[in-house]
Amino acid sequence: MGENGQFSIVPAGPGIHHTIASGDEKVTAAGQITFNSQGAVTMFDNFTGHYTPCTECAATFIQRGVDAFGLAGIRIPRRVITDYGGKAP
Amino acid sequence: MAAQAGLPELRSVPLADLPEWVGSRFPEGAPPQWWLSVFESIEIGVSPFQKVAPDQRKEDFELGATAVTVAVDRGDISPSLGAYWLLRLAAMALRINPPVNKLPEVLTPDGSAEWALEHLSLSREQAVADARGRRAEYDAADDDFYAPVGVESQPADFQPDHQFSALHEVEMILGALPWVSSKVTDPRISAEVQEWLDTRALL
Repeated sequence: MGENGQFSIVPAGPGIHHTIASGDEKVTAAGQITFNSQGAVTMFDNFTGHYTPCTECAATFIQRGVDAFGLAGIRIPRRVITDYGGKAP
Repeated sequence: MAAQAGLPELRSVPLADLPEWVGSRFPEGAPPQWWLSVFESIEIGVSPFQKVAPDQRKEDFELGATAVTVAVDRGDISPSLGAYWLLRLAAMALRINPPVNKLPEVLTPDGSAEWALEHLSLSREQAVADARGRRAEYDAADDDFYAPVGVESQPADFQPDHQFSALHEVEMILGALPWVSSKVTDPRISAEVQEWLDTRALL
C-alpha cells in the first residue's frame, strides 16, 4: 500500500517481490493475501521481507491492510490473519 | 522501510558457518521477516536477469539452499515456508540457461518436490476435512468473524490460528509445486505430487 493510500497486488511467484508492486517506492503497509476459489480470503499477513516494519508497527501494517481491503468491500476473517512481526529488536 | 539483509555480507559467510553466524547475530531466534528478506535477496541475485558469472550464481543457489534449511532447522520459519522457498528457488533455477552445474539436490525439481512432500503439515485426508470445516465456518460467518475495519490494533489482536494455519501452509506448498512438477523425473515423487495437486481442487 503506497503512501497515497493506493494499493497494488501482484500474483505470488518466483522472482515476484513487493518492490515490483510498489515500483520500489516507499509503502505504508505490505503483506500477502490468498483467496480461495470462492473468492474468500483464506490468508492475510504482513510478511514482506524488504518492507519489514518496525516491531511496534507490525500490527498497524496489518490493520492498514484490513482497512484498505475493507473499504474495497473485501472483509478479512480474523482467523486467517498472521502477524509476522517486525525487525529484530 | 528498506532492505535489511545484504547479499554481499551473507556471501562472505562460509556455508558451514551460517548456523553459527545467524545464531550469534540472533541469539533469541532470527525473525521470519529477516529470513524473508534474505531469501528475496538471494532470489534476486540468482535471477536470469542478473548479469553474474555462472560460478557466482551457483554459489548463490548454494547459499539459498543452505539459508532455507538453516532457517527451518533453527525453528525460525515453518518447514512449509521453507519448502515454499526451496520450490521458488528451484523454479528460478529452471529459468537459467545454460542450466546451473551441480545444483544443490534440494533445488532440483525432484529434490525440492520431495522435500516439500516430506514437510506437508497435514495428510491429504486431513487437509480435505479441514477445508470442509473452513467452508462451513465461512458459510456461517457473522460480523464478528471478520477483523474490524478502521480501528486501532495491537499485536495481541492477531494471534495465529493453528488449524487454519496448517491448512494454509499446505495450500502454500500446493500453490508452489506446479512451478517444478512438470520437470520431476522420479515416478514415485511425480505420482505423489500429482495426487496432492488433484487434492488441491478439493480444498
